[in-house]
Amino acid sequence: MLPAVLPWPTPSVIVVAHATGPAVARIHRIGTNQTEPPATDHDPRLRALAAARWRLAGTLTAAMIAIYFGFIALIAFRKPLMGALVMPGLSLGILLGALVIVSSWLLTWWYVRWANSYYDVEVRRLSGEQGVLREPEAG
Amino acid sequence: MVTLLPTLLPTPTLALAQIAAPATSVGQPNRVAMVFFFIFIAITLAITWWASRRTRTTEEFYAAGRSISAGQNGFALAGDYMSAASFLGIAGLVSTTGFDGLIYSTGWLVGWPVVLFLIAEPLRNLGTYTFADVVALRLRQTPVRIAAAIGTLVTVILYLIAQMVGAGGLIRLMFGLSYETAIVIVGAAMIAYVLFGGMLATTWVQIVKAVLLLGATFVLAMLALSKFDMSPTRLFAAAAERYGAGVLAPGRLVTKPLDTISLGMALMFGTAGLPHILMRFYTVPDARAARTSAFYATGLIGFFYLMTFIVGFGAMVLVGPEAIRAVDAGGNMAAPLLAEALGGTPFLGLVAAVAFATILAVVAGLTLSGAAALSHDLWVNVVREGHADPREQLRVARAATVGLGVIAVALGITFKGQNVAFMVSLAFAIAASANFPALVLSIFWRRFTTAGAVSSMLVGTTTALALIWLSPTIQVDVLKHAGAWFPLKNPALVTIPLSFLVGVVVSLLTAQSVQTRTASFERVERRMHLGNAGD
Repeated sequence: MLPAVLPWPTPSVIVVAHATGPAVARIHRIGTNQTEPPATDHDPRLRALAAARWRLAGTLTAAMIAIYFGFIALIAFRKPLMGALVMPGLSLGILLGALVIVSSWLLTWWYVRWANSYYDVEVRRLSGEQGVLREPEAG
Repeated sequence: MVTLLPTLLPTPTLALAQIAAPATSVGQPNRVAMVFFFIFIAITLAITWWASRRTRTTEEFYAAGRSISAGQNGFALAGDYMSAASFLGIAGLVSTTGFDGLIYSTGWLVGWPVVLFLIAEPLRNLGTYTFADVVALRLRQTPVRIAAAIGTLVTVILYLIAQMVGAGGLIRLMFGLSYETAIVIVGAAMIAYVLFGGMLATTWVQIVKAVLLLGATFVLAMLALSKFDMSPTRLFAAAAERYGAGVLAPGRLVTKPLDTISLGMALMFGTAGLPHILMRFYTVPDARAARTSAFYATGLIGFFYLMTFIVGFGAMVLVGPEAIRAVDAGGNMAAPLLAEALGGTPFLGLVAAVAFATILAVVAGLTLSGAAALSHDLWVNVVREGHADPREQLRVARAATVGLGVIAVALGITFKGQNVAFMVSLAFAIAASANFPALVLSIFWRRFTTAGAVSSMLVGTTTALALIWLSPTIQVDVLKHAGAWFPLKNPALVTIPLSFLVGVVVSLLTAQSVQTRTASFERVERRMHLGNAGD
């Protein structure tokens, strides 16, 4: 089941999201008829899930900041480079600008895939719902 | 770089003098525009009538009864966010400066992933109507609510002024109505939507507007591309051939790197602190829908900004920067002029009506979020200390709506002819400095205290206001002084870190006992992830 957590290729920046500790170990129980009690405030499973979510959210936020301010820095400090033509009519600056928009789509898509396929399952399990027996729809 | 959307708000005098430019009917009453606009008003008022019968409780008034689907909310978020500044301002900037406009196109989008990763889901699980619900959750209600309401109202009012003044100038330019008439029409329509239809009507106005705006922009971009074999690079190449390779490279807008970075910070983090955007996440049934709606909004808004770039270059090549500046010195008429060049007066009318609808929808969302801060945060939770019966809450919310609407109209008329373009970037700077740090710290940091939250929000608001007053934006551009004490045109580079710093330092100085705050944070954290299911 573990590959279902992050079923797509994982660039090294995001690797931290794997390190979910006990929460990941327990996801193997999906599909058995076992339901667990709802999490309490101090539940370590909840702590682990929260940590996993913040690690991914923080990494993706940092990636977005790096991409955008990297783009701005290139505009500010490497103007001639940004004006260089990649092909007739397309300067590197325009290409990178479009890629900033595309990369923000990809980052959000990545997060939503993770949250739908892993986070939601864990949340339902920790809420003590039977819903964990079903796979959530992906995407 | 000052000129963030430099002049979506054409200086009316200038505009009037230049309307007479021949070969375009921009500036003359346009029958098609009138017809489209009245159809839009008729449809949205019908929606409002329908919504008014479903708006009886406070939850329905502020949050549409949590009945909005993720897809609907995705469109509504996009509708709330894509202002006339984006549509007319960026297209105009691209058409007159080329590449530099792209800095804005990207800047206005990159806040959305941050909203999705950090804010949308915790907000939905922890709050009920306003972002102050989340900040105040484990802190003392009264001081936190007051500070948050100040940040909200300052953001909302500045944004409202910019939109109202823009609306007045725009409508006069496009429909030939007087400035005051235009402002009163906008004010009356927006009060009607919010007062009678609450969040449900406001949401559907946003959805209709978003579909119209995305559709019109898409058609405009495709028509422009059709002249270049549907190839954007051919379009860019034609622009470079006619106006020099410089239009494809960073130009004179980016003279000071720090200015660019500061503005970028305001745009990126301000999005995650805009009260009318944050409020939208309460209209969906659960955190998962909040997440999905932010994802859709990112897709739609990114698509829109890519299109504005094509529209801008299309206007540069097919209309020409000189012709665009001749109609409006700020370049704001680039998109309407391109529409006229490609589809004649009817298409010009459609685009003009869409631009008007855009402003109307944005001010409705702003008014509702301002009314929520006044009634839910200040009246119910501070004055009444949480003990107001539902009917009273609704009555106060509606009174606040009318009050804010009247104030918006009055300010719109007061600021007639003023250069208020800076107010949009200032609203983003305050949202980023006053609201965003407190929200993030309250969600992430267990040692955050009441004193820390209040001082972070107040310092964020006051320093952003003070520094923009001392900046070239006001001192040089508005007051025409020779220099300014503060070098940056947007204060976000200083005020965002300062607000975080103050929040952290004051919290550490006023720490409560470790056990108390850990216990309350763990309770909050459980609700943040499990929602009410965990209770």
